[in-house]
Amino acid sequence: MSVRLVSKEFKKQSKSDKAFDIINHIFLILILIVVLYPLWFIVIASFSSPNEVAAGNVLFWPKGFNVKGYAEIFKYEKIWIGYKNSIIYTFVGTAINLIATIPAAFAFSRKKDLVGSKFLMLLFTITMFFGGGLVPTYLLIQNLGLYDTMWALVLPGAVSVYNLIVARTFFDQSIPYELWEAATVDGCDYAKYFFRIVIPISKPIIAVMLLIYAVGHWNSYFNALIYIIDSAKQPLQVILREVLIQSQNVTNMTSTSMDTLEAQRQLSEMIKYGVIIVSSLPVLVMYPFVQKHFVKGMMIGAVKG
Amino acid sequence: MKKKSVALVLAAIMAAGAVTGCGGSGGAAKEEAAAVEVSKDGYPVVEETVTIKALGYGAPGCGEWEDYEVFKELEEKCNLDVQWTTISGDGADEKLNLMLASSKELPHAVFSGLSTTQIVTYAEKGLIRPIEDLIDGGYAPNLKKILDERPDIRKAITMPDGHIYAVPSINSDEEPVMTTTLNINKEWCDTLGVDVNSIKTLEDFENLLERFVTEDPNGNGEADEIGFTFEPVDPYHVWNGDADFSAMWGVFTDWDPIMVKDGEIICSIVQPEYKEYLTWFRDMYTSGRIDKEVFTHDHNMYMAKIDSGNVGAYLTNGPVTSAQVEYVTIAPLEGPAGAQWGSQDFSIDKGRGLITTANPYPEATMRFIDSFYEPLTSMKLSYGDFLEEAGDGKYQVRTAQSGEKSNAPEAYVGKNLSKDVVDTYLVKTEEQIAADERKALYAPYLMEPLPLMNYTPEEADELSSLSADIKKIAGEQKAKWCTGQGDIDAEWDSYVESLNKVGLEKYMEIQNAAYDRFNAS
Amino acid sequence: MRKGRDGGVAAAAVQTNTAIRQKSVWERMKKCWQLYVFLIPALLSLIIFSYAPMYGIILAFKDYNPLDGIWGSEWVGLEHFIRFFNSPYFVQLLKNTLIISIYGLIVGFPIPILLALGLNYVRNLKFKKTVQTVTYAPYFISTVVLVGILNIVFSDKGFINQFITMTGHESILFMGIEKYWRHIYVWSGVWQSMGWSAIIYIAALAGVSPELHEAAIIDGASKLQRIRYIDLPAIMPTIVITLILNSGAIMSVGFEKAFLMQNPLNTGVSEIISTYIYKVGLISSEYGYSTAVGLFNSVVNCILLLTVNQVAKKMGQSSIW
Repeated sequence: MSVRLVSKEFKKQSKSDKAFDIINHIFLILILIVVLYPLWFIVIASFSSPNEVAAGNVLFWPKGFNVKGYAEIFKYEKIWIGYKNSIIYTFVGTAINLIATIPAAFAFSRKKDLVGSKFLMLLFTITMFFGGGLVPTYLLIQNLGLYDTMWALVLPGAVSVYNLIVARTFFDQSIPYELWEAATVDGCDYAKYFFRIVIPISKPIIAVMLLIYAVGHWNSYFNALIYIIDSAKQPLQVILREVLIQSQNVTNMTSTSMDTLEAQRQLSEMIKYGVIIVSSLPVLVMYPFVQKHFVKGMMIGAVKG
Repeated sequence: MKKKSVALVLAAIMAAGAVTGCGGSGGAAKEEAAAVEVSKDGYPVVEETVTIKALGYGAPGCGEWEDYEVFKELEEKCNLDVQWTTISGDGADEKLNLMLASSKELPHAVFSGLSTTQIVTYAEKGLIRPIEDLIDGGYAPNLKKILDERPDIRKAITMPDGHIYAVPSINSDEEPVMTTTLNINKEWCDTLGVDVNSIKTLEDFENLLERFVTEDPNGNGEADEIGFTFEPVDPYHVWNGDADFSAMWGVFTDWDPIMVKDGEIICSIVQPEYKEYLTWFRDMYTSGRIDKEVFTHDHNMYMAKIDSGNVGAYLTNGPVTSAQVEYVTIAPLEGPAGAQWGSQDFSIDKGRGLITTANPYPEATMRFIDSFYEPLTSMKLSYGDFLEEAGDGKYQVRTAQSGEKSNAPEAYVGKNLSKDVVDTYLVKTEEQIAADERKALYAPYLMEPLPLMNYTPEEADELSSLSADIKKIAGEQKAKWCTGQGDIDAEWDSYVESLNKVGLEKYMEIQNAAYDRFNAS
Repeated sequence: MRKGRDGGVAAAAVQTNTAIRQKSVWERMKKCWQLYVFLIPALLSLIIFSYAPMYGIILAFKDYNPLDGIWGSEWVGLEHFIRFFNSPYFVQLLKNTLIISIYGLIVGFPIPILLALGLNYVRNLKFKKTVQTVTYAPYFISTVVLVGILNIVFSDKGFINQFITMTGHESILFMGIEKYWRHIYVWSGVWQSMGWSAIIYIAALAGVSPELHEAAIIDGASKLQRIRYIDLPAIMPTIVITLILNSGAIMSVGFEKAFLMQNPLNTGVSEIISTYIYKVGLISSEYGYSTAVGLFNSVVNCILLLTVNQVAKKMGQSSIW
C-alpha cells in the first residue's frame, strides 16, 4: 500500500499537505491496528491450545493449532438451542420493527401534510426519556399473557424512536417532494406512492434499519433474563453470559459440586474464544451486504443544516 | 403550541394508564377451590387429583424439577399434580423477586433460599400463608414429630409474631461447626522439609508462606507459586474465605458482620481486633504471600487455582482432591488472641419451603411438603441419582462422574437429614468420614456462634437496607486496605464514622433486640 | 433498561408548518388518512408498551405491596427521594455517573469527527474501504461479548500484560484497580463505536460540494485550511445536534456494560445510577425506592437536554426543536 501512497499526486503536493497526508495515514493505520488486533487475537486464540493461550504464548499466530474448542461447541447443546431461539427471535422481531418503523417514518416525513405531526412526534420523543420502570412493565407483560413467551422479547420496543428519526430524515432528504407531486398527478395516493415508489428507492434505509434492529435483537439479553423462564427458550446471549462471564452461585460447596464446577470451568476455558466467533457469525455474514448502504442510510438530523 | 401538546400527552398517559393499568389490583388471585377432603395420614392425601403450581430454585445446570424422579414418585403417591417452574443460574434471583412482586403469577408454593428477612417482609405484605395451624392441625405428621422432639428447631423457625412461615431443612450438625478449614499443600511442605504438623502458630504459618513463595517448592524455576489464597469477598467469605479465620485475632463474622461476645451482639468489623487482622492481611498481601488476585478471582477461578496444585495454603470447607498435589487440613493456629476459630449453627437451614396466600389447597400442599421429611425421600431430594442402596436397609452416596448431575433439588427444599437419620440410613463414604474428622479436629477451638435469631417485619425492613449499606462500605474498604491502597491507621476512624453514618448503631440495636428476644423465648 | 444514549433527534423536521391554514383541520386530516394508518403500528406499540406502564412512576411515591397493586399501595410521599438524597451513595453515584459520562463524551465525541475528516482525505479507495469496514465492525459486538473480550485482554495473562511483562514490568490487574476501570470503560466504548459514530460525519462530508474544494485548491488552500474553512462549517450542524443529544444523555449511562464489568474491587468507581437502580430494584426488591432513583435520573436528564438545547439556540446554532 505504501508504494501506491507515493503517487504522482502525492509528489505534486505542497510540503504541508504531504505532512498532513503522512500524519493522516499513520493515524488511520494506528486506528486500524487498535481495532483489528483484539479481534484478530480472539480468532487466533480460538484455534490455539488453551494452555498456550493461558500461558500468554499466543500473540500473533495460533500456537498449538487445533479445532477442539469448536468441536466442543458443536457438542454443547445449550448453545445450539440458544442459537436457534436467537435466530427465530431476530427474524420475527426485526420484521415487527420494520413494519412499525418504516411506514411511520414515511408518514412523519410528510410533515407538511400530516396534521398534528408536531404533537405526534412529541408523543414519540417523550418515550425516549420516560418509562414506567421495571415493575409496571413486568406486570403489563404478565397481564397481556406474554410472560415466558417470545412475544415478551419482540413486542416491547417494536419502535426505536431514534431509528424512526433516522429513517424519517432519510425520507425527508433523499426523496424529493417533487416526486410526490408528480405521483399525485398520476393519481397516486399515499399508500400507492409509498409501496410503489418510495420503498423501491429506499433500499439504503431499509437495509440499515434491518441491520440495526436485527443486531439489537441478536445482542439483547436483559429482557430474556427477566421474562424467559423456560431454559429451552433462552436466547444465545444469556447462554453466552454463562460461558463468558461466569455466573457465581453461592451453594454449600460439597466435593461433588467442586468437581462439576471445575469441569465446567475447563470447558468454558476451552470454548470461550470460539463461542465469541460462532455467536458473531450471523452478524458478520450480514454485514458486507448492508455495509455499503451505511453512509447513505445514516443521515441523522439536519445533515444539510 | 408546546403547552397544548404537553397537556395532550398527559391526557394520553392518563388514558393509557386507565385502560391497562389495572395490573395487580385486588389482592392475590386465589383460585376458587372446590372443597377437597385432605386426609391427615396415609397416602394419597386427596381422592381427586388437584393441581398445585410450585416454584423451585434449582442448582445451576441441573435440569427442571418436573423431570426429577423423586417428585414424580411423590406426586403419584400424594395424588397431586404439581406444575413446577424451575429457575436457576443467571437471573434466578431477579426472576424470583419479580414473581413475588406480582400477585398474578404468584406460585402456590415456593422452594428457594429466601432469607428469613425476605420471608418476614413478604409475610407482612400478606403473600405468605402461616403454616403452624397446618402443622399442629395434623397436616404435617412427619414435621410435627420432629418439631416436638426438637423444640430448638421450632423456636428457630417461629417468627416474633408467633407464626411459622417456612419449613426448614434439618442438617446433621447438631453442634456448631466451622465453615472453613485451613488447608496446606503437603507436597510443598515435603519438598521444603517441613513437617505439616509443626505449623502451630501464626508465625510458623507466615514463615511457611514466605518459604512457599521464595524457595520455588514446585521446582519449575519460576517464582509463580501462590502462597495463601481464599475468597475474602462477601458472601463467599463464609464458605471459602476469612470469616472464620480472623477469629485468631479475636473476631469473626457470619454473613452479617456480627458476633456474640459476653452475652451481647457486637459488630465484628469495627473492633480493634478486626483492624489488626486487616493489617496482617495487608502485610501478607503486599509482601506477596497472599494471592495477588485474592479480591478479583471469581469462585470458579479460585477452585481452579487450588485444583492446579500451585497453591500453598487456602481456606474452604475441606481439602480439595487435586490431581496434582495432596492438601491436608491443619488445626487452627495460635494467633494474637490464641488458637480459636469462628463457627456457625448449622443444625437447620431456614426458609426451605413456603405456601403462598394464592394457594387454594394449603392442606394438601402441606401434606406434600411434609412427605419430604420421610428419611428415604429426604435422601433422594438431597442426593438424587447419586444415592445407591447399600444393603441392610442402608444407602450410600456414590461419587459423581465429572459433569454428572444429581437430578435432585439438593439445597433449596425442606428435608430431614438429622444426625439420627444420617446415622441410621447412610453408610458414610470416605469423604464424609474425613469431614467428620475435620469437624472433630476443629471442635475444641470454636467460638460461640450466632444464634438462629428472627426479626419482626419492621426490623427486617430496616435491616435489609442497613446491612446492604454496611456490607458495601466494609467490603470496599477491606479490598482497598488489604491490597495496600490507602492507610488503615489513618483511615480507620473515618471508616467507622462512615459506618455510623449509614446507621450502624440502629443496625446493632435491632440485632441486640432480636438476640434478647431469642434468649427470652 | 433506561433509554440509551440515543437521545431524541426530534430533529429539524418538526418545523412549524405555516402552509395551508385555510382549509379546516378536519378536511386536511381526512385527506391524509392513509398517513395515520401508517402510524398505527408504531403508535400502538408505544401506547401499550411505553405509555401504559408509565403510571408506574407513582411507585416512586409509594411503598409497593404486590397484593395491593400499584394503585392500592400506600403513599409515602417523598420518603424515597429523601432517603436517596441522604444516602452516602448519592454523591458517589452522581460523581461516578458523571465522570464516566463526561470523560466518555470528551474522548468519544471528537475522535469520530477526526476519523471522518481523516478518511475524507484518503485517496486510495481500497485503504479507505478497509478502514471503514474494520472500524464499523465492533459496533455490532454485543455487550456480553465485549466485556468477555475485555476480561480476556486485560486478564493477568492477557496480551496487554504480556506486553507489559515483556518490557520487564510487573503485570497489572487492570479489571481490579479502580484507577484503571474508568479508562477501560471509556476507551473500550470508543473502540466499539468510533467507526459507527463517524458514519454520520462521513455522510455529511459527502454532501459537501466538490466545487468548493476545487475552488479552494485553485486558491492554493492547504488541506488543513480546507478542513478548517470548508469541511468543518459544513458538518457543524451535525456536530451540534450530536453534541446536544450526547449531552442530554449524560445521566443515562447504559446499565449493561458497567454492570457486567463490575467486581468488588472496582464498585467504588463502577457503581453508577443505573446499576444501583438495578440492584435495589431487582436484587433487594425495593421497587418504590428504585423507581424514585430512576425518576430522579430521568428528570435531571430532561433538564440537561433542554438546557443544552437552549444554549445551542442562543448561540445561533441549529437545535433539536
